[in-house]
Amino acid sequence: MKKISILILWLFLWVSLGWTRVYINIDAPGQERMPIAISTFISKGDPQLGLRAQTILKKDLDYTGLFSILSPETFLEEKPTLEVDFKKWQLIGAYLLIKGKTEVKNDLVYLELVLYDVRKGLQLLGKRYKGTPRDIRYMVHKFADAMMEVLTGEPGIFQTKIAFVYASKTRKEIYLADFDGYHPRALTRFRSICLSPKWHPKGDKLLFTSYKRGKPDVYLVDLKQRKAIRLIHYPGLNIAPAWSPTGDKIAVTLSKTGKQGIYLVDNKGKIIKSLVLSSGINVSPAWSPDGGKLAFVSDRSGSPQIYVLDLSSNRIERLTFEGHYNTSPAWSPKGDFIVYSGLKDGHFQLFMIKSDGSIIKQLTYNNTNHESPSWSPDGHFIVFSQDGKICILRLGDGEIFPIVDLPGKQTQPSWSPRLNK
Amino acid sequence: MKRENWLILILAVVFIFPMACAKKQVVVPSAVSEQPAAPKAEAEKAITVTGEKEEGAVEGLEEKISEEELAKQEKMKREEILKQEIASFENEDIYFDFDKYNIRPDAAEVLKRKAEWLKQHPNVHILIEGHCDEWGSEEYNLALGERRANSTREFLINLGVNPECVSTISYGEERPTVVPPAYCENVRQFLLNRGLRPNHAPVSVTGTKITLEMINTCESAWAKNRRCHFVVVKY
Repeated sequence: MKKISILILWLFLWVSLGWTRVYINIDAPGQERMPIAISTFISKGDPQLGLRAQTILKKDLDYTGLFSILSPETFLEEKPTLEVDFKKWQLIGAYLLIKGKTEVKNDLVYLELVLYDVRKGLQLLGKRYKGTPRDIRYMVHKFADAMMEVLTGEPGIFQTKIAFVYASKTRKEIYLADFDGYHPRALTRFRSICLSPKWHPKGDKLLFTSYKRGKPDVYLVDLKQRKAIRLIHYPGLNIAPAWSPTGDKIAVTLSKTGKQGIYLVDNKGKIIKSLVLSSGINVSPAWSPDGGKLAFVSDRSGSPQIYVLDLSSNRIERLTFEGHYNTSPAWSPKGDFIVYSGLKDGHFQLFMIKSDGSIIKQLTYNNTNHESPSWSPDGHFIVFSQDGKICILRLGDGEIFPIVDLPGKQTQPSWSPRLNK
Repeated sequence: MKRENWLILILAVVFIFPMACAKKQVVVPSAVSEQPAAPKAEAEKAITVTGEKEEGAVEGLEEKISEEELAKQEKMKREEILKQEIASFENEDIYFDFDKYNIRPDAAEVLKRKAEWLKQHPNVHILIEGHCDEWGSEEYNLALGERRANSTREFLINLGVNPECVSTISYGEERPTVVPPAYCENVRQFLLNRGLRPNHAPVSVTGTKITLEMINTCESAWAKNRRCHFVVVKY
């Protein structure tokens, strides 16, 4: 009896400690933004470096929508220091405080960042990074990820990338950019039509469709070796590839028999078996995170709708019944929802449907087209293309903002998994 | 090592090596591109060697040459006619309804003519390109474009065209023949608000910023992109 009561006490303690550890519950709706002060960073060597680090960190925190960053005009500190007088920060209403210092020594940059709980007078996180001046952005992203892990129990998405299709007048190429649209750059220079980039679950490879050899085939790019090979090239269409969550199999639409079907192929491009072979159009397979189900688009009812194939029972069930044109399904990282693009009142809008079809939420409303949604690895954001511009939808508050600043059209974004190096 | 093992090893080398070669791998520092085709220089060299003129032609061959010349001219004339026929064959597309891939009556007329010509020219090989308008997802349209190309091919085969002479490709919405003006977005909104799809009945535009002319322009642009295009690849 005594043992049990001690066990219960321990359990209680453990649970309550667990609760206090999570500062921000992202999934709770209507959360107030947490007031945070970012003290002016100390810069030794290059005075611009501290300011740059501070600006990048501020942008990262803004991206999450979870913080209200306090105006430096109210700060009581006279000059930047690494010492903390918690009272001065409590007075201006800060719950959290970040102090930082940059230093340049022998062409190397040292960045020191500390996160404090102002109300408790506690240090929550302290990190020191070293690198070249060019790395400063990625050092700050690293800290921001660690900070999110301390505050929410899960790392952020600051070390992720987004692949997309960049369309010029005559061709389409695959491009890469950081999660915030920074540094957009060409991945392919195929001088052809390239479409539908999809990340490997490990983040080191990408699949896409290209007309490089005159017809649509699936290509594989290895990001480390910077090599491209033609992986899947059966007669007819080879389009819309999607890696299984384990990364050893690929679902892809082929039409080698004349019928368009979804097939399972291995990592060498060899067909393992057919998954969906009914007449009509079957495209855009999307795996459930447990690998047990596959959402896809079919026109078997007369118009494109989302269907779900259960891979263990081989049963296919129709998921969407509202609207006449629903495409581009993407399964949430937690597996509870599927986001898709559906035609409503003349425009494509994003919708989120429970994977059992029970609840539908419309996510976008304005009179533009919202297409090709892809989830962030933490499931708190969706990247999509809005009339040819890459935009982020923040699910917490429904805020939409563009990220990639390029001329021309950008479409079909695909969010990478976490790429912690 | 045993003899069998050596055999297996040799077999493995013989089979695996060409397989490994089948996939071209190229290292490019900045962006990724595929390896260019085999160097041209060698091929060109080969051509210049065999193409060298043989000097000192033998007399008495003149008559024969003029006969050959006549036949040549005749052949060129026939080729000229064939080229014109090919041009008009390629110039005529067939069109489809929105999100559909069935052959319409107007398209059937065109296909019957095309089938007759193809049957008269059994050496002609054609490629049918399936295209779509920009409504809908890229992936869905790739599939829809292939459906259009396939039903066109089936239709020609049913009219007696040799299946081996007809191949297909889908370009989805990637290669529109007409890029609609920007205001077509508003026109589409206008039509959908009235529950209308492309190929609708006459509609009143009084009291709106949309004109009938705008609707016609957009409609015809979209309709022109819902098509199959024909290319003669061999004759």
